[in-house]
Amino acid sequence: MSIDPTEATAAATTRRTFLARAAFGGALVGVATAGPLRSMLGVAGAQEAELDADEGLENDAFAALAVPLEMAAVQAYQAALETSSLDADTTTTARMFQTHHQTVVDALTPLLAEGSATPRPDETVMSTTVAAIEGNADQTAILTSLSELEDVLAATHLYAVGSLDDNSLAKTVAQVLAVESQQAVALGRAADIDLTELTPDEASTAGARTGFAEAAAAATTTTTTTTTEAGN
Amino acid sequence: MAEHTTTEGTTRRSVLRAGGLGLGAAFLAACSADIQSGGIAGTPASSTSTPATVPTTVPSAAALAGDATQLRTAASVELLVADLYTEYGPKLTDPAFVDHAARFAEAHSAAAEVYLAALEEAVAAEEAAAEAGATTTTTEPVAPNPYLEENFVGPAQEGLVDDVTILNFLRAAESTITANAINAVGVFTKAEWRQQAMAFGAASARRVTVLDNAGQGSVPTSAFYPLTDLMPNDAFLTGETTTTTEAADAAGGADTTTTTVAGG
Repeated sequence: MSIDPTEATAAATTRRTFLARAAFGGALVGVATAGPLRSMLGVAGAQEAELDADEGLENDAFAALAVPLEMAAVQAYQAALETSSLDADTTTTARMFQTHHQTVVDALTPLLAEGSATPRPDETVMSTTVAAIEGNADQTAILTSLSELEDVLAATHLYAVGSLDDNSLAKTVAQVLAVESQQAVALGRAADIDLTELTPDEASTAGARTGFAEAAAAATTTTTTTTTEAGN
Repeated sequence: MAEHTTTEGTTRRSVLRAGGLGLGAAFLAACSADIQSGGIAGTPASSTSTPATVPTTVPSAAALAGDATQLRTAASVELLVADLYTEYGPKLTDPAFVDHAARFAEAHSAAAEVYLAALEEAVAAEEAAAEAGATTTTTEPVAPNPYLEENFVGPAQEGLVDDVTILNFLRAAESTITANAINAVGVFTKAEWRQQAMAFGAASARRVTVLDNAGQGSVPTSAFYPLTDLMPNDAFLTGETTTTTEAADAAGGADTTTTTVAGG
C-alpha cells in the first residue's frame, strides 16, 4: 500500500478547475474553504489533494486512522455537552450526533488489524477541537467548531472513498460521509454560517486527514512495544 | 432543527427494491403541503462487511457496461434536477431560496458535464473490450432521465404550487442523487469515479439538510445515509448501442448488419 501521507490541504475551487477535472483523470479533488478549525488542525494550505487510483488503501489502514478520528468526535460532543452552554434542542441534536459517531466507531473497529493496540481518540483533534470546546460558554462558537470537525471527517472519508480497495467498505464510508456532511450543515446553520458556504457545488477533500499509513504503522508499533513490555 | 427518522437493518436486495418505493413515496410526499420530511424516513442501507474488491486486473465487459450505466444514469438525473431548479426555482417566493435554486441548478448542470465526459471515457473502454467485429459504435445522447420525468415529475407537477411543495420536491430529488451516488460507489470499477460521484452525492446530501421541511432544515437521525430514495431499477439507463458490422459478401459487395442492443 502506498498512500501519500501528506494532509489534504485547502485551495479555492473554481468552475474552471471543476470542469478541468471532467475527465476524472487522477481523481484530482478540488477544495473549497478552510475554516479556523482546519487551521488549528494544521491542514490549511494552498495545495490540492491528489489521489492515484492505483494506490490502494486497505481496510485496516483506513480503520487505523478513521477509528481514532471518530472516537475524538465522540469526545468533542461530550465536551460540548459538558459545557452546559447548549440549549435544549441543540443538546438533543449533539447527543444524537455523538451517538452517530460512536456507531461508526463500532462499525469500523472490527476492521483494525489483528493485534493492533487499543485505539485512542485522535490526539490532534483532542488537543485542538476538544480543547477549544471545553469550558466554552459560547454556543455559536461550539457549534462552529463541531461543524468544522464534521467537515474534516467528511473530507477524510471522501479521500478514502477514492482509494479504498474494498468496494463494499467504500460504500459504507460513503454513507457515513453523506451523514457527516449533513451534520456539518445542520450545525453550521444553527451557528448562522452562510448557506452558500455550507452548500458547495461539490464536496471536497479540503482538510482531509490522509496519514493512513502512519496511523497503521503506529498502531502496530505500539502493539509491539506493549507485547515486549508484557514479556519482561 | 427538525428530525427525520430511520430504522436499521436490511439487505442489499431489499434496499434496491425499497429504493423505488422510497423514491416514489418521497416524490409524492414532496407534493404534499404537509411539511414533513420528504422521504428520508425508511430503511437505511446495510453497512455491509462482505468484501467485494475493486478489480486490480482488467475489468470484465459487464463491469465496464456497469460503469457506463451508472455514469449515463447519473448524468441524466443531474440534467433532470437542473431542469427542475431552473423551472421551479424562480417560482419560489423566498428570495434567498430563489438564489440558492439558481446556484444549485448550475451545480447540477456542471455535474452532468462531468458525468458525460466520464461516460465517453467509459464507453471507449467498453468498446476496446468488445468482441471483434464491431467496427463502429454510437451511443444515444443523454437526456434528462425519461423514467423519472414521466413517472415522478409529471404526476407531481400539478401539486408544485408553493414554496412548501416545491422545496420538499427538490429535497426529494437531491436525496435521490445522494442515494444513487452511494449505490454507484459499490458498482464503479474505478476508485476515482467513486470519489467523484460522492463529491456530488455529498453535496446533494448537504442540500437535503437545507431543503428539508420546506426549507426549515433537518438533522440526520442515522449514522448511515439511508438508501430509501434510491430510484427504481427501471430508471437506470443501460443505453442503446448501435453496432454496425461490415463484411464483404460473396459478390464482393459490402454486407451491413445493424443491431441495437442494450448495454454500453
